[in-house]
Parts: sequence; structure tokens; C-alpha cells
Amino acid sequence: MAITEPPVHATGDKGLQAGALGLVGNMVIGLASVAPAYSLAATLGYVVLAVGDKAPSMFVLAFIPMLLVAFAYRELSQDTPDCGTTFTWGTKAFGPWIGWIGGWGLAVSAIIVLANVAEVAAIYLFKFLGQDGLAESLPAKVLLGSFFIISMTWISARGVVLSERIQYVLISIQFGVLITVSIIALIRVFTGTAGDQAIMPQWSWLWPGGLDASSIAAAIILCIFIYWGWDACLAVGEETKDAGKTPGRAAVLDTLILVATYVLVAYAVQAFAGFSDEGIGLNNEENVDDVLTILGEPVSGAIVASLLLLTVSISALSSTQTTILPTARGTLSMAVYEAIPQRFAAVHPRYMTPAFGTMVMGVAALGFYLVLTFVSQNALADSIASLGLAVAFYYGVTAYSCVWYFRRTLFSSVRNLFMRGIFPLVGALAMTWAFVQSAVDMIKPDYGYTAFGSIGGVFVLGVGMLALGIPLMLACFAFGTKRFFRGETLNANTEVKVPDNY
Amino acid sequence: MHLTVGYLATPTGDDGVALARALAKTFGAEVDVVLVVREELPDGHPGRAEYQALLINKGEQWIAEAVSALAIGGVSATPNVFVGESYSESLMTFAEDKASDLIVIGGARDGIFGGHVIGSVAGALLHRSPIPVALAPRGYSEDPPDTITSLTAAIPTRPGDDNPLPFTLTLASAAGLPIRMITLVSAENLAEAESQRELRQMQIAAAEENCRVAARALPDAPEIESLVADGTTLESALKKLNWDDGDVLVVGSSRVAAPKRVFLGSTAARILAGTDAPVVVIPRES
Repeated sequence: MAITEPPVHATGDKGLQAGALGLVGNMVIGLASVAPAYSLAATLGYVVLAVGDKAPSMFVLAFIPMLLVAFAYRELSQDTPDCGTTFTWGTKAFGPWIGWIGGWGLAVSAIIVLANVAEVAAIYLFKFLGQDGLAESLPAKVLLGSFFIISMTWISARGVVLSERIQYVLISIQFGVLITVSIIALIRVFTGTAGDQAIMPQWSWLWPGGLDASSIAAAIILCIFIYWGWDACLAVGEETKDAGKTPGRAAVLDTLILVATYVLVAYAVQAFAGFSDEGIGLNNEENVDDVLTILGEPVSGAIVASLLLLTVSISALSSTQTTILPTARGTLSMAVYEAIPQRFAAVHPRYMTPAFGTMVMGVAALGFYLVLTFVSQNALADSIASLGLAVAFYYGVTAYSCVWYFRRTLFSSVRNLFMRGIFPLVGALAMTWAFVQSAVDMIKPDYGYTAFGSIGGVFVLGVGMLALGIPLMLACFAFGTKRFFRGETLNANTEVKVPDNY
Repeated sequence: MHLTVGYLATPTGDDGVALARALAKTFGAEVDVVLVVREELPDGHPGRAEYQALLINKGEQWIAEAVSALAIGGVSATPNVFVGESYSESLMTFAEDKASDLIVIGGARDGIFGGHVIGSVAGALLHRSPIPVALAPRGYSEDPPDTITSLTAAIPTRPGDDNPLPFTLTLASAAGLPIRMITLVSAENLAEAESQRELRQMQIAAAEENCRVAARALPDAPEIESLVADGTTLESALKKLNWDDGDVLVVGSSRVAAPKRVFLGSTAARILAGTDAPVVVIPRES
């Protein structure tokens, strides 16, 4: 090919550093990735179901392993930035097979969360529109949910993203609504106008005493989901204005905001609703999948109640943005290193997105969603629990990779020892424990709401999705170029900058 | 003469390159090819900057194909890859900086429908570019002419619409091209006409007026052919015109255009949709 002149970069002030974020921008991104209203609505009831009035303590406790794993993310993404994340780091630390499965764990999380988002957004939108009948109807729910999956995938493939400003507005609304409703609920509890079901908040709710290991593991797997994405603000140092300080500060502030809000909401819900098995009580089976909005109307009337429903629905939908595209970039990276078929490495010439990978993910999510809704008695609960498993899995892989990848420089400084060694290792062990303990519990048929013969449904969905990666990996090995699996395209010594020349 | 070519690695992008090649050869123009890659905004996941770098890299590979396609036709071009939020914005800024004479793009929408169904980038340019915009029709790259062989100016029938004739004459004189003028008269003008006879009369009057304008603009005018196409609708009138491979149609902007800006009027838009030849839309005179 005759190229007359080498191409010129004319990136100017719109170049790689264009999106430099300040403190607020950094915080907003971290919070938007978490999608607090949606996360709380989807999990709070199940956490209460698992640990009773100790839910607030679980929100605090589950945060610790998340924090420790986030350190691993930060260290790795600063040392070896790459769109492949867990896949790239896992491969560099432990070789192609572990790396591939780590990348698969990431993709599985995105697939499951899309299905869950669709379910949540559909139910809450119907309820917001006053169509409670439709929210209960399986065909209506599946139709709207499938529509959401298809349109979200389409929007992502087209590369349409929410601007920082819109995310800022959405996040402000979420926190505004959650905090306002909680404070009103608590005021009514303290002034005695909350009704007979209300109970006084207890300090003991903050201490996880008297719980067995299974309950804690179940709660932590659920709570992983409500903090999932929080690590974002730590990992995006490269695009921050003051990269040395801003991400750290943003992370600390985000942490305080998130933990405080979650604990506040949990306290408000528990105190206002009480633990009766009737009415709005938290032990009423009918309320489990929706303890958040059940409070809306009793606490502060119909308008706030519908605002809460709408907030959850929008929060769910907007969270797909921070899920689909990064995951599609991950599969793109895998394809560039020849770990999966080349098609996934294609960038759409007009939309400039990994459109093929995005579409495949959307189709997989649609398939998972349909299977889930038709075999599961409670798609919401089962998908959250299996999502927690997938996230714990790839977080674990990432944290172990961090320790092993940096093993030679661990003792060069105290900072390295903690940030690259002890913290990630403890985080990884905690993730492993939560994963194994939950998996062992989930295999029992009485776990969750669904059972396939003598095996629990959540185990089949969660572990099954992860295990599906093994035949797929073998297929990629059998029919692919094998160069990746021989360690030729990506190994511990590969310089990952722009992975494009293989 | 300088051409700014907006490129995307799509069939439409290739159409634009094919038109740019014919124009550059005809007018001996300098060519800059511009490709704008999407700006990846931070989304809170590691690897964004690497993806941006990958996009730029990809853009350079894509644009190299366009540059070599031009080189095969004997036109040397400079590639430019930008990162930007808006394709059309980056293109206009670049063309203005380079004092470009023409922005050349493929006009069609990539997809199944429409010939000159305007793509989004073309749409944006056609409603505010300060520089004339040349649009290649769909499929132009499949069988492109080597050079441009004649120019056709679409003369407006309504007073106040911009007359593209002066621009066409300038352009034609740069390469010694023959010019023809067309006036489209359709039964849609019947509201103004009492009868068929009067309509016919109007058409002839229009054609004669065209010739007079041309003669006034250039006393020693080259051979200017004047055509009147009529039909019940504008589209059927357009169908009666024959286009050679090397033809280019020049149309003016709407009367609502801001001075010195392109703004595609409704008639021009219909002309665009019904024409198989490349179309140049020129900004309104001040």
C-alpha cells in the first residue's frame, strides 16, 4: 500500500487528556457506576432476609473487602493500563488460562447485570405508571424487559453516552430522594407518628454479632453488588486533573457518602417498617423484593412514592452505560490478543465502538434473561445472587493477580507491601471465602427460590454461567490461532500500551 | 484550490474519496483527508485512555486506505486524524483553518435505504457550513469518472433564492469546463399559473431569463446550454434530465440561510434526493 506521508496526530487540546476530571466529576463517575438507588432497591430486602436487623452492619462489613480489592485495581491499572483489565492482568500474572477465565467472569457479570437491570427497570416502570397488574404479569414484564435489553445494547453500540452533566443530575436525584425519604421516615419513627409496626433504631444493628458464617457470606455476596463499580473512581487516575490526590479524595468521599447513605436507608427502612410478617413489615414475604418503595407512600405520600419508583427505574437503566461499553472493550482486548475470535476486535467504522462485542453481549443477556424469567421463581433474587458470585470471582482473580504480578517488588517499600501485597491478598481471601461459602450453601435446593432437582437454582445460574466459560475457552483454544494460549501474544513481559500490533 | 475530504471507513466514505479524486484531478487541487474518531469520555473504568489510543491507531489505518485510494488515482493527499465530539464541527473548523475551497464527503446514509438520503454528518454540514459542500451520491465509488467533464447549475425559479451561476462560472473557468443550466418547472407551480399554456409560457420565460443572466455575468461566456425540464412534480421533472458520469450539479442555498453559510432549502433537498450526480451546495452570498 502506498502511503504518501505518515499520518499526523492532530489531537490538540481535544486529545487523550481531554476528559480530565475534577474532584466532583471523579466522585460522580464513581457514584454513577454504583447506581445506588437501583442497587439498594434490588438488594436491601434480601440482605434483611439473610441477616435480619443486622443489615446495616453488613453494609459496613462488606465494604472492607471491596476496598481492599479496589487497591489491587488501582495498582494494576496504574502499572499496566489496558482495556482488558482482569483478563490482561490475570494472564500476565498466572498465564492464559486463568486470564481467560477472569475475562469471562467480567463478561458474565455484565450479561447477568443487564438481565437484572431489565427486570428491575420493567417492574418499577410499570409500578410508576400505576400498572401494578402488568408488573406482576410475566409476559408484560418479559416484553418490556427484553425491549430494555435490546435498546440499551443498541444505544451502547451506537456509542451514545450520558454526559457528565446528566450523570450529575441523575446522581443528585438518587441521593436526594433516598436521603429525604429516609430522614422523614426516621423523624416519624422518633416522633411516634410512624404507626404501630415501627420500632426504635438500635445501635446493635451496626454490630454483626450472633450471625453464622452462611448468613454473613450470603449478605456479603449481595452487598458486593451494591458497591460494585465503586472501585471506578480509584482506577481512573489517568484522566484526573491532579492524578496524585484527586482519585484518592474522590474515593474517600464516595465511600463516606455511600456507606452513610446505605446505613441510613437501612436504618430508616428497618425502623419504619419493623420486622412483622404482615403489612409493610420486612419479614412479609411479599415485600422482600421491594422494601424500598413499599415505604414511599406510608412515609411521605403518593408523589414521593412514585418519584422513588421512577428514580430506581432510571438509576437501573443508566447503570447499563457504565457496564456494557467497558465490558465490550474488555472483549475487544481479548480478541486483539487472539484469545477469542477476531470479530470481537472489530471497531465499527462509524460509531467507533466495539459494536460486535456489544451486540453479542446484548444477545447473551437477552438469552440469559429469558431463561432466567421462565425457569426461576424469583428472577430478581436469583440473578442478584448469581451476579454477586461472578463479581466476587473476577474481583478475586484480579486481587490475586495483583499480589502475584508484583511479587518481586513487594518488599521494596512498606507502601508496596501493603498496597500490592497485604491489602489485595486479604481482599482476595475474603472474596474467595464469600464465594466458596455461598457456593456451598447455594448448592442446597432450599437456597433461594428455585431448585433444579437436588441443586439450588442460584448455584446452577451463578456457578453454571462461570463454568460455561471452560467449554467456551476450550473451543477458542481448539478453533482459534492458539497463539494466545501458547503465551505468544500476551505474557508477563508483554508491553501493553496500544494492543494493536499483533 | 484546496479540498477537505471528510472520511469514514464506510461505503459512503469511499464515495466521498472517489469524488475528491475526480475533483482534485480536474482542478489540480491540494487534498487533505480528515477522519474524526469518537472522543471516549471517562466512564469510570480502567482502559479508557488505551481504547482512545486504539481508536486513533485504527483511524490512522483507515485513513491510510483513503490516502492510498487517492494515490492510485494520482492524487497525493495529507491524512489528518482528530479526536472530537462532533464530526461536522471538526471538519468545518479544519476546512476554515486551511482556507479550503470545498468540503467533500459522501452524502448518503450508510444503510439500506436511499440514494441521496442525507447522512447525519452531511446533514449538519448542509445547514451551516461556511464553505461549499460537495456530496457524492451513493455508490459513486463503484464506477467513478476519471475527471469532472461538465458542470450544471440549477437556476432557481423563485426570486430571492441564491443563484449558483456565478460560482459555477468561476469553477468552470478554473478547468475550462462546459456549463449547462437547468431550470425545473413542475405542475407544483400551477397555483401561480392560470392554464397549461401560461405554465409553458413561464417555463420559456424562465429559460430565457437564465440565458440573459448568464450572458450578463460573463459577456464572452463559453457555450452555455440552457435546459428546461418540466413534469407534474419536481421529481418527475428531474427524471427527464440525463447525467453523464463526469457531471456535477451546483445548487444554491435557501433564502433563509445566514449570510456566507450553506443552508439547504426544501427544493434543493428534493433536487439532491432525485439526482444521481454529485451535488455541490454553495453558501448564500452575503
